[in-house]
Amino acid sequence: MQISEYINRNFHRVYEDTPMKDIARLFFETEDSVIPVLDREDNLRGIIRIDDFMHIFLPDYIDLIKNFDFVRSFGALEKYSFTIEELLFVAEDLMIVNPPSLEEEDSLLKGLAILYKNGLYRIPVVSGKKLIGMISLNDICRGIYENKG
Amino acid sequence: MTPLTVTAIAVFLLSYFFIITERIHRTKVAVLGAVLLVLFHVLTQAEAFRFIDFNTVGLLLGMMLLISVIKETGAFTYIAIRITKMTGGSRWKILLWFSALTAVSSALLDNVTTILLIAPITILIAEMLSISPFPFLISEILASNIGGTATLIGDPPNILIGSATEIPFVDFLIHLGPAALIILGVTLAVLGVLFRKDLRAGGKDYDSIIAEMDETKVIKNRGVLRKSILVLSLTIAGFLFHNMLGLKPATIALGGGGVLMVWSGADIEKHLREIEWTTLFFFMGLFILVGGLEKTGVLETLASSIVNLSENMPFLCLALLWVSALASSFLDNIPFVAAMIPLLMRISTTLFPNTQGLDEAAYHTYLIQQSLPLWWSLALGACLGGNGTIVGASANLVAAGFSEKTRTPLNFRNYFRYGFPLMIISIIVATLYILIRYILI
Repeated sequence: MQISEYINRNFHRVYEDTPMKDIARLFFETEDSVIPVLDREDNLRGIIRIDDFMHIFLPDYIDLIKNFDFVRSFGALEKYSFTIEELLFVAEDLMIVNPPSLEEEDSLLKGLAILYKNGLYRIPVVSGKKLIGMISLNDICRGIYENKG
Repeated sequence: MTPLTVTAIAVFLLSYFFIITERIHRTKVAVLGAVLLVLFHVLTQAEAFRFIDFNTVGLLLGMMLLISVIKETGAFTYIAIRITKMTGGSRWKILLWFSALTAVSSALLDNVTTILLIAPITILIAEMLSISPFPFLISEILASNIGGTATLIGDPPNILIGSATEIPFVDFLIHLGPAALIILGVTLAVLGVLFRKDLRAGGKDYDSIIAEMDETKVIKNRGVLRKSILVLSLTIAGFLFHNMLGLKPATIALGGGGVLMVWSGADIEKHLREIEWTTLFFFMGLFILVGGLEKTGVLETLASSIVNLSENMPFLCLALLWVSALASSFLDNIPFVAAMIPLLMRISTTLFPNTQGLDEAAYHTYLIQQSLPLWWSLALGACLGGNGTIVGASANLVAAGFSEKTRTPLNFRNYFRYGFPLMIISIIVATLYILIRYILI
């Protein structure tokens, strides 16, 4: 069971200099959780995960606090978080470089293992350095259950 | 000087060089140094193990186990929110009460854990109220080192001193507690003046932000919390009465840690993974390194030389206090104190020889009683000295690490401006305390 049949070849992409606002629009309009970042030759340079993208709206020290159940509103922080200068970032600043990827010939089970291993819901599929599509956990789920009959 | 003595000194100095310069992790250096002493036949393996003070190691291990359960209960966040509500958002009162919480906690737990628990919630509450966390973090660092001075279990130098001298927990509290309290009061008063502009009350919306915080939601497992508080209280009671019970502090701490592990149903493997094994092995290596000097007679020679310079007790106390404070400001106070303890023992023996023919145990008690001001000077200097610079104590570095995630990070320079003068003030107060309580009266 190879992943090739289940690859989404009609995918959204951004380039290294795509500004943050355009990336945000892609995230909320497409509901994709991972967006590939390409160079001008369509080589895969990195991926942007929505988790990392949204994390920059939180203050860095938020990771230090275990429990936020006691908070209803973050007070002064509510305004600060949305005026931060990081809004000037471009894709290159936000992407994970050398991201995990699959090849067309890889099996569904390998795809599933790589997704789990990297905590991703969606992953690029490449041929050499060229990005040829994306495959998600949902696609792999479909592939496995279709093959089970 | 015999070749073995030269070897012991060389290994000791080389190891301390690497520990101080931090070129190699201190635990690796201490363990390797200890192994070298055995390889070069300065110590036999059996002698090396005998030099390890397992009371210190056990005490640290037991407290680490206890703390690993307590820190997950959410009790600190609960208290911090209650305090914030109680202060009504007054910056000065928040600083005062958070510092007091830090000091009390540091006296009972270890300083690093206290800062690990209190600093993040301080930063969050300060930012929610649109206040700079800077003054609060400075005051908490200072309070943690001052609070740690007050008890036998508060700071590693005191654990080392208490274990070596067998001075009871109560005596630490009676002798160092008042000094810590006075120094904390003076420090907070000075901070109030230094940060008077930042601490001026008020901001709009404070009341509503604070009122919205619901502290009841941070306690996830009330059963474990209740058990933790009870076991910690019993452990502290055990420390208070350990002499009467005929038990060493390590037994009390390991007992507390063990009971809480069983009673709370904690995952022992998870909690054992959280034990700071690097610290424990560092201590063991250090004991052996210093043991090499002790066996070869180096400490005896050094002690005689110091006593030959001056037998004057007030001079020795104050010199010890100030040298310990300045050294601990820039260097790790644990290796410093580990080396000073056997040296002070030798100095005490020279100053107060066994002329009455007392047996070993009785002479030890007599010796420690006679030399108490020296031990208090060492404890005050080594613990309070940690406040001098951002690298003076591990807790300072933890707070600085957290502050890097805020808009006003602590660094060597901006901490030094406040920390060093306040450390000097604390040592001046400690000098007066030693003079008034032990020398003049």
